[in-house]
Amino acid sequence: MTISDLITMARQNLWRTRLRTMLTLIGVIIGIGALISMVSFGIGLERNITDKFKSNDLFTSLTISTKAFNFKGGPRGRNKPEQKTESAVPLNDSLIASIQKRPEVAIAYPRLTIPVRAALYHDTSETNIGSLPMSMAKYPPYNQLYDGRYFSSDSALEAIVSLDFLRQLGLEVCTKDKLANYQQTDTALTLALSDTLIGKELSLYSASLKSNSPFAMMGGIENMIGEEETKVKIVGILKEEQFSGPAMREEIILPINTAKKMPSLGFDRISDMISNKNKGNQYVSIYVKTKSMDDLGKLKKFLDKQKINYFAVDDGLAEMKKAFLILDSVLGIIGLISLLVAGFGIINTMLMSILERKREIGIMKAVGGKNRDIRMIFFFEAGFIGLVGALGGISLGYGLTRIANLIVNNQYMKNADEFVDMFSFPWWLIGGSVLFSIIISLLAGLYPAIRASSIHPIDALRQTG
Amino acid sequence: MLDIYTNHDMIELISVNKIYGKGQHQIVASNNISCTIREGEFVAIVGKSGSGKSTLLHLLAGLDTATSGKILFEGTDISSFNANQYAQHRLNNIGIIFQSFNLIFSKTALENVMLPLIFAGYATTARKQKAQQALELVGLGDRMHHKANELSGGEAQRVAIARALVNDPKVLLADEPTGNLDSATTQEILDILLSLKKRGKTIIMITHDQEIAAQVADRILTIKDGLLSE
Repeated sequence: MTISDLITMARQNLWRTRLRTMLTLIGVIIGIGALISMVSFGIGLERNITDKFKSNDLFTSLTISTKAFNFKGGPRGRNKPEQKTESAVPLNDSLIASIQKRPEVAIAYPRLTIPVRAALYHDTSETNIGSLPMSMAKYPPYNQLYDGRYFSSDSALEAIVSLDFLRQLGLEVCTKDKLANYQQTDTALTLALSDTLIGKELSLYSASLKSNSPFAMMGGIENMIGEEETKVKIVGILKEEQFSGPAMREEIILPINTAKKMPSLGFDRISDMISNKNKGNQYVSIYVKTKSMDDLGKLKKFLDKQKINYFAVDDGLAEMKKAFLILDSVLGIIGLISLLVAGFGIINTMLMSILERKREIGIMKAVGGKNRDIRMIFFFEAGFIGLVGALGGISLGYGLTRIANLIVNNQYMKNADEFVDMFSFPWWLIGGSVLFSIIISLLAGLYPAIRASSIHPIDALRQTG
Repeated sequence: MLDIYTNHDMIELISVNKIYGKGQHQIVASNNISCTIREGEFVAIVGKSGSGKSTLLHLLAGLDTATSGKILFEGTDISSFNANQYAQHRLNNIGIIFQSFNLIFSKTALENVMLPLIFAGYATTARKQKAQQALELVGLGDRMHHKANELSGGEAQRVAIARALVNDPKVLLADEPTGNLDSATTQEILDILLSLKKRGKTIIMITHDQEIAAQVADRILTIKDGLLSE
């Protein structure tokens, strides 16, 4: 018998009892549909998160800091950072220059974070400002601002603000082209057009140290610390990004030299102030962007040799991937359970088929069919159910995920710039589902096939009908 | 009658026994049977119901195994074959015609006749051609696409004969081939069997009807309580 004969016989025999075949198929379709939609959700989630990281170049950058963080965790320190000793190498302009010279480095600059009180119109908000050099203009997310433009120079009195910061000032912002279909998410806020904010003056009040003498403290804090105003012009508005670029969490960004010149306290902790620990131009952290992910590895080796502490997002990526693997496995197991139930349905269907076709089996044996031929006929019928069920299940799973996507995007993400696909269907998931379904079906068909092949032809031929 | 026999012994049974059950409850269906059937012979085995004639046919076809003794087919001892060897033997050498036709009702006449050819590994075109020829030989060329359950008794038996012939077997075994048929149809079937005999086929027919046996057979063997005699 050829494969073609077996497929034809399987198709004809299953069609003969089509109602029973359909009911068995439904079990397989639901099993595969559940498996594929759940696993595709896990894969889609991972893809969306890592794509966000990649689109913000987070896999080609690291932050050098005075202290290091270890996210390896363990039974005791699970998910808790362990602080290492402070870096012996001072984080200053000299270090930045030497790092910038390295062939794998694209950009290196100090990360400045200055707490300010920001005032726009008549509202104020306390926040932190960050800073960026001009060279960051071509990298995401700064090359795709919500509205406006990047800075004109490293010393311009300009600012880029985030939508979140504007929300804190009571403003919900949208662009002119989206105004017609815009649905306000918070009616307590005032809806404002983004282009009306571009060019507006923003006042930044930062604390400055009048004197760090302990004697000055005796006269009260106001003798030591004052507040100075810096006026800047809003030139750009940053999109909301869950995993923003280098100036993460800072809601106002200034050009780097402008930020350096801003009055500030110059220290993180009171003890540093008293010990006058931060001398001159030392920074708390330095941001470094490499040319590629491989170059990031080279840079890390260099920094490790120099005993310079750093944090790179991709260090946590391995742990994140493990977590996603566990999630995908759990989702897959849940989907698998329904497929296993379908497998029992196949066994039941095949055994009933053998009972009904006992005489037919006897005839096939009488005219020269070997035990192996009989086994293969029933094996192929089981496999056929698995194959057709898999194709139906993939269609069902895909259809359900499209509906879920539509509902989520239309109901919960109305104002998003782009459609978010929560599911991912890599080729290996499709192929693996088909293969898995066929394997489960063949395993289910194994016992019935053996049973059919061991029927005695005379006993079978005595069956009437 | 011309003696068309060769010296070639097609089948030889040597002290063949078939016993069912054990001890007090055992039944001797075939009792120390020895005989020879030569190539081209038409042998009828006559006996009443329960005499053991069907058992003997099953042993000759390899559908059952003898308890003791030897069955030689063209000199080869087939009595120790396993199930797959028996199946191959039936495919290559034996065509079986049953009393109740034993067609697959959901398949057409053509598909029923093609069944042995599928197991023999014939390509689709070749198998269709051979099956059509076999059906035309038995006069059913115009009914080949009808389902088996749409055929009359005589037509069904002719399809069964075509199926038995399609692999060009050396021996045809017919178990009461006219048992379920009326007299007119019986004659049609017997005529077909005679024509096959004239073509040189070796035929062994089981029947309870002495007259039918006398009409067609070259030799009549009688079986009673498992014992075979001339």
